[in-house]
Amino acid sequence: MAILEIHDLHVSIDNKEILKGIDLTIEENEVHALMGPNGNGKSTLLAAIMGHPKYEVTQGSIYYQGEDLLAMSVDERSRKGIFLGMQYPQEIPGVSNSDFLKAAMNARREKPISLFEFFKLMENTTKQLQMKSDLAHRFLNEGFSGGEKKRNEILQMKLLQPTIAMLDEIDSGLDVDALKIVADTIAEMQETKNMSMLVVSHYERFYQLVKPTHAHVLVDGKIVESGDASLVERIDKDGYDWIYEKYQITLKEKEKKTVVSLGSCAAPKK
Amino acid sequence: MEFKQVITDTNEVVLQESGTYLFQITDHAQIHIQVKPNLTVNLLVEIDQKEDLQVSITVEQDATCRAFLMHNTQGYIEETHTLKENASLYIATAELSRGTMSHKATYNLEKSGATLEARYAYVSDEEDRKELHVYADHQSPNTSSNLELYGVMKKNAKLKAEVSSHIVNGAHQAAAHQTSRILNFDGNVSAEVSPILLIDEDDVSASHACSMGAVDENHLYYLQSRGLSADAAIALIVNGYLAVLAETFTEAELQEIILEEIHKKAGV
Repeated sequence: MAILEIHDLHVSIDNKEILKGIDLTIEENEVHALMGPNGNGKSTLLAAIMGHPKYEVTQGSIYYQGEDLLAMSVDERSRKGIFLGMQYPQEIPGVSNSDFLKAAMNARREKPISLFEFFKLMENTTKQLQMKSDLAHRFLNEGFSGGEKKRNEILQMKLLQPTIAMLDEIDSGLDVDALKIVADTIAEMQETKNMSMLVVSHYERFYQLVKPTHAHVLVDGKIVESGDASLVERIDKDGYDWIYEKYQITLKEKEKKTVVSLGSCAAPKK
Repeated sequence: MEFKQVITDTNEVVLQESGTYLFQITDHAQIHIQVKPNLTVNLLVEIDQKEDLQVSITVEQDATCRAFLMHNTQGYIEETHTLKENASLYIATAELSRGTMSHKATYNLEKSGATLEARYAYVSDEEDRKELHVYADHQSPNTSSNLELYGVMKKNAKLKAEVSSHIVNGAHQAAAHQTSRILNFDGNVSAEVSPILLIDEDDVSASHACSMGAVDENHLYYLQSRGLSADAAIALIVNGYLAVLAETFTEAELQEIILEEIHKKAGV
C-alpha cells in the first residue's frame, strides 16, 4: 500500500486556485524531489497535505496508507506519521522547547515519556545535530538564527520519527557543515525507519545529499514533468526554460507597473 | 519545600526573620502582614474562602518582600500595601477561579526608593464576571512601579480592569510603567482595560502599553502539526503566556510552585 496517494488535488487560498489537479504517489523509502519556479504551488502542496486551515481543498483526494487524510485534523495527521519541516518555523514566546517537544512526543505515546529518558534523548539528538546545549530551556524558535530554526525542525523530525517527512526548503539558511549534519540525520532515519520523503529545495547540492529516487517539476499548480534524479541535474544545469518550451507554457506576464506622480513634495517651497 | 512558618487564619503577623512563609486563609475577614526592616522574605498566600477579604502588607525600610497570592475565591478582595524607604515589593497574583469576583489593590509607595513590581494573571472562562482595580500611588521621589496584567478570556467571560498609576507633585525621578495584555479565545468574550497615568510632576518617566487580540492561528497550526490537539496547543500557549509570573521569585523552587499552580488551573 502506498504511503501517500494524491489524486486530482485542487487547492485554493482565499478563493484563488493554486493547485490545479495534482497526482502523486509516494511509496515506502522513496525520496521525491519537488522542484519548480517560486510561487507555483510547491509549499501549498506540502501545507495542504499537512492540513493548514487556510488551504482549502476544493477537489480531489489524499490517502495515507489507505486512509482518507482529508478527513483528519492537522494533529491527527501528525500522529499518524506525517511530518512537515517548515520553511518559516513559528516563534512561540513563553513556550519552552522542552515543554513543547515533551508534549509532542507524549501526544503519540500511551505512557508519557519519563523525564530522564526525555532529557537523555534530547541531549543525544542536540549533540548529533551540533546544537547548543541550552536549547531545551529556550523558548520555541524565539531568537533562533535561520540555521538554528532549521536544525530545530530536523531535531523535531528525529524525535517524532515520522513515516513520511516533507521538507520545505529546509536547506535555506544552513551553511555547508550544517547541511551535511542535516543530510546525515535524514540518511540515518531512512536507513533505520525506511522513511519516505517529499523534499522541496532549489539546490542540487542538497539533493545530492538526500539522493532522490523520483523528481517532479511543478509549474502553475500542476506537475508537468516527472523523472528520476537526472531531472534534478538537468534543471540545475539548464533551468526551467526547456520545460516551458516542451509543454508550451507561457508564464503570466508580470502586471505592468503604472508610474504615478505624487506631485510636489509636501513641504512648501520657499 | 520547607517553610519558616505556616500561618493559618491570623489577623496580624509581624515577620521578624528572613525566610519563606506559607499563609493559608480559609476563614478570615482580614489579615495584615508586616515585614520588619532589612529582611528578605518570600510569602506564599493561599486564599480559599467565599467571604470578602482584606489583605495588607507593609514592607519596612530596606526590606524585600516577594509574594505570590493564589486566589480561589468569590466576592470582594481588597488589598492595601505600603512600601517604606528603599523597600521592595514583588507581588504576583493568580486569579484563576470560576465565578464573579471583584478585586481592588492599592500600593502606597510612601517613601523614597520604594520599588514595586506587581503582576496579575487573570483567567476568565464560561460566565465569569471579574473586575480588577489596581492603583499605584507614588508619594515620594525615586519610587518606581511596574504593573503588568495578563488576561486570558474564554467563552462568555467578562473582565473589566482599571490600572492606574499616580505620581504626586514633588515625587521627582519617579518611574511608573504599565503593561496590559489580553488574549481572547472566543468571539463572545468582553474585556475592557483602562490604563490610566495621573502625573503631577515633570521629572518622571512613565509609560503604558495595552494589547488585546486572538491567539495567533499560525502558532496553533505549528503546534498541531507536531501532533498536539487544539486543546493541548492552547494549554501550552496559555501556560507560556502566564509563566512570566514566576519571575516574581528568584529561587527555582518557588518559581516552580507558581508554574505548577498555573499549569493545574489555567492549563485548559
